[in-house]
Amino acid sequence: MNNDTQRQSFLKHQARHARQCWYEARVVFGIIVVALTVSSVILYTQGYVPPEQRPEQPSLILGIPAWVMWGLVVPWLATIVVTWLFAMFLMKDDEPYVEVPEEMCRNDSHSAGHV
Amino acid sequence: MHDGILLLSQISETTTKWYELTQRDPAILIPFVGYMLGVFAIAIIAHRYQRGADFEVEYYVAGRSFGPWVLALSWVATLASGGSFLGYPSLVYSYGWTIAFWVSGSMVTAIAGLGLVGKRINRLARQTGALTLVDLLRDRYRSDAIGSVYAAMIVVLTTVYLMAQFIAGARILQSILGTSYQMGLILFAVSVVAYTTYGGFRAVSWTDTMQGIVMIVGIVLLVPFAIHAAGGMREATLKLAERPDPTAQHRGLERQQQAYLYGPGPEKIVKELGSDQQGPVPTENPYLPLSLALSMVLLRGIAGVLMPTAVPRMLAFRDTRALRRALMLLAPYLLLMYGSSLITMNCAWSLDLHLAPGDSDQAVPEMAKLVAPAWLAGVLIAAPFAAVMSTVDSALLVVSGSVVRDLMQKTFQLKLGEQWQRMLAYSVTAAAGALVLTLAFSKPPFLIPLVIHYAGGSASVLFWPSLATLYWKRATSAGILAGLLGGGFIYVVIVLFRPFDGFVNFHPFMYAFPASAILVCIGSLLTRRQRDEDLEFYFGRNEDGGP
Repeated sequence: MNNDTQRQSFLKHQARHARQCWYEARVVFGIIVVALTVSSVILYTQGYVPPEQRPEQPSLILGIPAWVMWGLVVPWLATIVVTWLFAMFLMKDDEPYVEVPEEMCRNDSHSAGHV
Repeated sequence: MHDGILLLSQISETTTKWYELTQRDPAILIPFVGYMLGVFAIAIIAHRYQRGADFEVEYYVAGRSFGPWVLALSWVATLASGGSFLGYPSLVYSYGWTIAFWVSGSMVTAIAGLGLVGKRINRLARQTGALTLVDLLRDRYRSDAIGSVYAAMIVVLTTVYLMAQFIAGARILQSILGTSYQMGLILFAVSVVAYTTYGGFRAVSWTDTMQGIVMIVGIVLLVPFAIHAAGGMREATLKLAERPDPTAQHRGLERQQQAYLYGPGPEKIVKELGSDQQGPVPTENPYLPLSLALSMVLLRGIAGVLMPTAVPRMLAFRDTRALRRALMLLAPYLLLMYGSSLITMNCAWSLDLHLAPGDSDQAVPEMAKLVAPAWLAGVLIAAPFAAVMSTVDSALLVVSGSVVRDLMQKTFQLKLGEQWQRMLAYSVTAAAGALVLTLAFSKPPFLIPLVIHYAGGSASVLFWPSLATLYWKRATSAGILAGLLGGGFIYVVIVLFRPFDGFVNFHPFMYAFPASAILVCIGSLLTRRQRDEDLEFYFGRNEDGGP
């Protein structure tokens, strides 16, 4: 492979990698926003009850206050499932490494392209 | 049940000389000594990998060889410091179920920490030969100023953090071995500095993996014992509903019904109860108002992403497959870790574990004494020690890497042969440990508030400049410097002067974090963009030929 072909191949490869990473980062960001928003809204609306409105007998699920169960445990379990799905289906394995063309080596003190 | 663990107050009465070790209980000593021997054995094995390998690649990123288990467990063990096993249970013990909101941000810590930047950092680091994140930033902008500022901030933040962890480690050893603080500190420092210096990043990560296992096994196994001893979770929570709020009582406030079952929780505990007898008319000051809860949610969710101690793992895993599997392992780990403490410590009140506010850090060991068999208590005492050690060893290497690699070799252009690189890396790691040991002897009183700000400071200063470098073509060196310095400056100003506390009780990070993002954007957009040929290496070239 001559230098120019190698360079073109590397750059296309690099563009695909950058695009895929950016896509995955946006998905992760979306998951973070949704998980924290849903959880916080439930925790606040059900858990921050003024003292005079609190029931005499607290609402418990498996001995845990209901607001903790619905606002923390359930969203956390859902986030675990979503994380698994993300890791299994959305996050792609990187393509095999393409050697960095010599003229693009960035680092003087280390072997650039060392993978 | 047994009495092997000594409370700090008891130690001062039972110890006559500072170097004496009064612990004699084999149920404590055997697991502890076994654990320490395991750590040193790992360091010796790991050291062998340094032979014949590129020393710096091996010493700082373990030859970029981590599989999913080492990546996941060493990442989480580094992230979870003594705070997760002493401080957090102490909070649950002190404020009950209110802390559920406080900890809820951790549900996204795993996916944020590894999913947002892991793949991109790892790939670029391999291609550029970067051994630290600073290498990557310096390389993209070809700017020594960025490299130096970023490295200096890491050194400052991490050194402060190290001091607190040394103190925590010394206190745990003081309790385990029944000795003085000074002796605990020396033993802790010598052991952790020795295996870190000798074994490098591979030893650190392997021991962190072991520590990650010890931590989760210890804390999860305590749950059934605590629930059983409390007569069931329902009984424990119902008893907690009747728990009086001592601070509110002391301040003459009306009793808040079920304060430990709902937000914003009981009154914030002040250390010197009684000192405000003649003070102003009491006003309510609950522990977790909504503004602070939201601050903690965001901080816990994203602070771990680019924390200096966690980032080296991103440079060290083998391939994306390892990353994906690590992500799957980590997701449930954090729920088990934090959820277990939440359940266990909410059983504490019904078990009459009535600790003074100053002793609440001892809640986990005291609970173990009370409900667990001796062998489990031994493991449980090793758990917080493992958490502290796994954080300290990583932090030592971060400081060493920043000083040797980022400052000496890159900024000051120090050219060294491999033998000298080796000597310098060992010396700086050991010297960093010795320096922190010296500082920790005096137990500086200002330290703890600073440590609380480590995560907030890291996120405020490092998050946006790093993210922009990885994903934003339009980022420039001016924008990155503005984000680094501006984020740090705003954070410090708000911590010192608290200008908004009269209106809303947000954590200072809530102001500095978005401010850093804005500064990165403004600084970048006002300066000339990087040349396409400089960006190509990072972002490639599209099919249409454009960058």
